[in-house]
Amino acid sequence: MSSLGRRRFLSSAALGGAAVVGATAFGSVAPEQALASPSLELDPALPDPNFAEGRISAITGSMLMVTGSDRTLHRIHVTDGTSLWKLRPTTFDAIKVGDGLYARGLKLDDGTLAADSVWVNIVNLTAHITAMERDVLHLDHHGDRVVGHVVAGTTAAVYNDTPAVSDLSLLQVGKHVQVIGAWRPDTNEVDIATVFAAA
Amino acid sequence: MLLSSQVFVVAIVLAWTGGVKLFGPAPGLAARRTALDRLVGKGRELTAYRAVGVVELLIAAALALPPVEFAEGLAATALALGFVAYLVYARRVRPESDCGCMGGKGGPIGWRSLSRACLLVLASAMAAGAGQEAASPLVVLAGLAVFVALSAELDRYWLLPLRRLRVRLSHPLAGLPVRVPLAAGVEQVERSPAYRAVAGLLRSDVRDTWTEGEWRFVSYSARYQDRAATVVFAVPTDRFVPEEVQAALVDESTEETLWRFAPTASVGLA
Amino acid sequence: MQCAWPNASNNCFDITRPDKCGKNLVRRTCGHQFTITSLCNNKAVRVKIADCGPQTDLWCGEKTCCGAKCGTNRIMDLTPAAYSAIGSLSGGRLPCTVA
Repeated sequence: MSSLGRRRFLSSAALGGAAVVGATAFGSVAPEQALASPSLELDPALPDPNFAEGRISAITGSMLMVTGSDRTLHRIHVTDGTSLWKLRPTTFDAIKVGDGLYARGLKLDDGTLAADSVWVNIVNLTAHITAMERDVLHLDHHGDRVVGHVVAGTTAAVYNDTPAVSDLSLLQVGKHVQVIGAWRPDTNEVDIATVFAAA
Repeated sequence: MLLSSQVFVVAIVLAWTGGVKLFGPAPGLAARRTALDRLVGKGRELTAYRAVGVVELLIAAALALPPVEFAEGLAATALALGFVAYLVYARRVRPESDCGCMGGKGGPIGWRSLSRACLLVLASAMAAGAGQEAASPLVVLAGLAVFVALSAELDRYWLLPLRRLRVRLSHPLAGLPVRVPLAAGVEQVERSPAYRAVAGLLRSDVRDTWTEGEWRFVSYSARYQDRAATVVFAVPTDRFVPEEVQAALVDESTEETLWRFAPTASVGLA
Repeated sequence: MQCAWPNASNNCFDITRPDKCGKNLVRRTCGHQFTITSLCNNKAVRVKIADCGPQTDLWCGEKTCCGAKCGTNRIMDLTPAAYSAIGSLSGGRLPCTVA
């Protein structure tokens, strides 16, 4: 299915344009009850085989070759069902060699990780706002200076418990924030996805 | 006049830094943020920190009280040289440590704390060469202003308020186009009864999102009865009403809707 | 799988001060294991304390919800490996139980 066709089909399904088949699969039981299953508990001392992190050293077809920070090599298989995040949900062509990533999925017998989710260049910083300019937040992240770029249409702010908004005018110099953003590789700059502030 | 003014600049700076070390808040915490424990041994950093404060206060008092002696300036110069050496050492052994110069919160040792220490060496050396001539309050103030400008610890008293004022006068981030960000859509999804029903099936983060009219659609990969599936949520864009979020679980390979959640309909009934 | 806990030591507690938000968190030192369960999807992960954090007192009263279930106050930081086992990294925070 093309991306457009796929979206059209999913839109209509969500809004009830299509008939529901196999409804008996759930019967009258909500899936949440049907699915309550004991969760897998790993020994925290062992690395999780279903998780990978590192920098992308090569891209071959739909496979990402990743060098972990401990020099481990990961092969990450991106499929049609993999969610890709790079500042926002994105597509495979936005991923570049040199990007950093975190990936979670299922480690297969051939050693590849079939990815459910890939987060590219994602950073999570707690910092103080030291200054502001047009479309830029200057941040102090435990003594390191970080330049946070505001991306119009994407950057969102969450003030306390309010829903996320695009209005950043309540941010204050000197206040602490948490920033979820996309790192620009090999710089001290990030594009801001969400900034959490205690108003 | 220039030289004799430095006597007071150095005296006031040392009184200040010494005072903070002895009488400032949370000296234990401040001492632990430094690299002093590497120099004097673990557990002795607070004693060392306080001792430096005492020396600073003694030299400050000697400088401030007449007569002006060459030896006082010399002692201050030696102390300031010690500071420079310590900062270079601390930066090498523990780059993230605090300078500890004016209590904590100065942040890691950078060009500002290093140039401040070098400036103190210079001012102390000048003080050592001072004669009996009178000091100029203006020169003293100017000298202190330079020290304040170089002190990251004091930024919050002058630099942050200045920046805050500028932002208040004209907020640089005001006037961005008002749009409902994706994060708000995802939040509505997560708050919704629809999400609660299928959260256990979801395998991925947001895979795709698009808007059509007043609806934002958010799709996720899911796994249902050992087959790959997709969950798509429809979220109102013009208001925050998680109760109105709709959802469907679909098999894209067969284009079948396996389950649907509509706020008014009961779950799972076709 | 590692986490940071606000009451991992005296020094740590002096910085994070969860008590200022009315949170009475027990002292648990490095190596102690917790099971973290997301209130969003009931997924759980087992983690070991390796660091001090988050700075709870900066975020007193902060609330995040999934469905009708909410969590209040920041009481734990997880590594990306641990967090992604129970939630989406792009979300940044989630309500959970700590046991």
